[in-house]
Amino acid sequence: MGNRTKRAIRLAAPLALGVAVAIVAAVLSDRIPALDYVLALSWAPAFVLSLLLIGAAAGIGLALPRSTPLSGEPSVPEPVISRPTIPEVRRKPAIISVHGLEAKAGCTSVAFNLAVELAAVGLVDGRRPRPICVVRAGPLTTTVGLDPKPFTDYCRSHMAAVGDEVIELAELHPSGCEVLCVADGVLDGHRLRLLSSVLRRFYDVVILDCPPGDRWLTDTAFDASEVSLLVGLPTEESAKAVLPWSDTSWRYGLDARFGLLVNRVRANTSIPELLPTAFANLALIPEDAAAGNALELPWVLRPESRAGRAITELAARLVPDLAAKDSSHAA
Amino acid sequence: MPHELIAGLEAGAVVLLALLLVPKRGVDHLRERFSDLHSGRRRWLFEPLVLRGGQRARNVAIDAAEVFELGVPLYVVGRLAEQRSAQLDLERQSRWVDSPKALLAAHLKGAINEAELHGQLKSRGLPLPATKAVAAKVEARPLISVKWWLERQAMAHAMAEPNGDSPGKRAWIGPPAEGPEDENATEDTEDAEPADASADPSYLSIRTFGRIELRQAGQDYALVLIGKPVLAYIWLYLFVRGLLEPGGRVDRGAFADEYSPGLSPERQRKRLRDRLGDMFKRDLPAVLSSRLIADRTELRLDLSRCSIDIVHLQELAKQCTAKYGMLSGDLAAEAGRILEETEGEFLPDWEEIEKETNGGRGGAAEYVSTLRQVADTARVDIMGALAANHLARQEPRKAIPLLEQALERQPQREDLARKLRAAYLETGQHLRAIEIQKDHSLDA
Repeated sequence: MGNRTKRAIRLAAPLALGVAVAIVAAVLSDRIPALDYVLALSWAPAFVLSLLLIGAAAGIGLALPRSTPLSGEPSVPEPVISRPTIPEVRRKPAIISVHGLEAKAGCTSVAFNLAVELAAVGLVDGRRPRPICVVRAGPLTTTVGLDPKPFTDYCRSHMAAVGDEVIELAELHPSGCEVLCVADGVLDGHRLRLLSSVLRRFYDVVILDCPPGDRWLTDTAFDASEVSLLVGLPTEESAKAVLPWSDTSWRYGLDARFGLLVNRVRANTSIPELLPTAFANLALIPEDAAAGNALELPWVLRPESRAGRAITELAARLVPDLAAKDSSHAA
Repeated sequence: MPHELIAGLEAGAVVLLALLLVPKRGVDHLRERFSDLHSGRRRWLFEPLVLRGGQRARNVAIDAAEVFELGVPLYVVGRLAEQRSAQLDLERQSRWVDSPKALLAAHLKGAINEAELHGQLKSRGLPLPATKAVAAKVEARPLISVKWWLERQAMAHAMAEPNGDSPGKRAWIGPPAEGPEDENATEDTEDAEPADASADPSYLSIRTFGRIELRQAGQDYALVLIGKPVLAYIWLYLFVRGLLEPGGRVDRGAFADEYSPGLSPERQRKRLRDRLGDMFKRDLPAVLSSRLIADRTELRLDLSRCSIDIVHLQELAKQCTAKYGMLSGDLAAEAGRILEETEGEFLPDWEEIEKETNGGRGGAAEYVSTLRQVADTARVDIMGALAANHLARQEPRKAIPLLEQALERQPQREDLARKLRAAYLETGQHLRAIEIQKDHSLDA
């Protein structure tokens, strides 16, 4: 059933019900004197009040111009996006790991947008921060020409060490953030540890987009980072995947280091109950028709992007020392 | 007019009021919606109405339907809140035009080039984006001869300590070489070491950990030396100074004072002269006495053609830590072997010898203590390197005992604590990992 049909039913049903109630009241008023008495007393004030209400609505309707969506801005219902509750990273440099709960949850896009947000409007010691985003190679990176091969070759030629020269392999984005594209299977726990120890010397923020499936790598990324963000979708699959994370974090008292991001939240799709209850720290990122490929034009650089706004808010809470205090994207 | 019709109209008025008041759609999260509208986080209370320009009657009908759907109170409050949100949005849009994000977006869309982007950012007083991080290029410097370096060290030491005798705190063990004047011996220190120590009969192998051994051509002279504590004090004192400083030159007068504290300078010098005479003439085997070099002002011990375990320990520690990860099989085996060999204390008999010689009143104990610390640090470094090697080879279980032992010796080493935590995590010992994190105040 379409939205228009539902709306028509919503409007017609109360009208029909009202007419029915009026007819029944009229019939019963003969038999029930009290009802007749009440109707006789109340119709005049009700009528006057109705006129006043209609007048008020008409006045407001005429006086206040309707704002219409901007071109490119979605005209779908806006979901309710509660303010994010995300742990803060105060350490410098900040290392944040981003883990996907299911395939295509938006892990890479979220990581990259966070990095761009901080690079574009953040401030540290009067200058723009220099973040680096270690992203997984995939369709997104391919479309923008990011090549994981240099890093793969580097790892092959440096089996057990990562030197400072590795930073030369990162691509500079015009925003000032750098992107290191890594093919799946190239990083392992040990190499990630070595890599992060190099990156933390050159960058103000290190954002690690971690591939799922490698337990050692995941543990190492968690160990190396101050905050881990789990990116999921409002689906049962994500709800199922979040359980082990929630159990582990609760068992070891580390839940304050996790933040759950539910991506692509829509007004007409309900979030499985398990997701918001799994972690105390939760942020919602709305579905964004304006989003497109986050690596081509990041969401945070699109004024009409709801997802971009949500990530701006997220960055301000996640890295308060670096994030912009009065961003033009922030409310 | 029939009574039923009148009653129906009366009831209709009441029903109309009810219909105008009550919302006919789901109004979940109403409070959050209004809060977000008030702060500009959202644009519409529910969804935007698609109005079309030029179709006034249609637009009025759509608006009326919304009034009916929401109920007048909710409609009125919602429109007021949306109005505020729209104002905030306009302000945001006006700010956006001059924001760094808008300029960056224009650059990414190809509307302006990089130079224009930087120019516009500068003109607005905004900081430029960060430039590409660059690793510092470490260029190889021209080689400096060992001789020059040793001379410089000796000169720096002499300038820093004019009396040449105050106990140093430097954690550096000098190469077993002679002073600058012994050019051949100095330059060839490493080359002079035969590949097989036993092949050269003049080669002295010195073991200092656990027990003292001075072995040449298969014979141990340590017992002879320790049997004469006064001479042992002189020999070992010069040995320790030789390890700590290149050349190991000791001012004769200062050493006499160290050796016989409390006596007059004349008696101190005489006592030292007598003992040196004893050493050279008869009391010490030539293997040991021939290495003692004394002139009118200085004393030193010739440590060339020697194999000294503590020197080897520190060199190996440097090699291992320089690898920063996986070690070769040979190096790992050598590191394991030297850890076993250097298990005991450095110069364990020193306190007894010193007590018998000068009642422990000299400052030599500090030199020995410094070397013990150096040895301890080197051992811990090797343990850490071996543990890193095991971690790199995905053998965290083998790394754990090494790291635990190393941390027990130097609990302040955060790098080791981190490795141990990683090893615990990799072996699934999360509780221990948390304990170590708390004990060593590691960052989460």
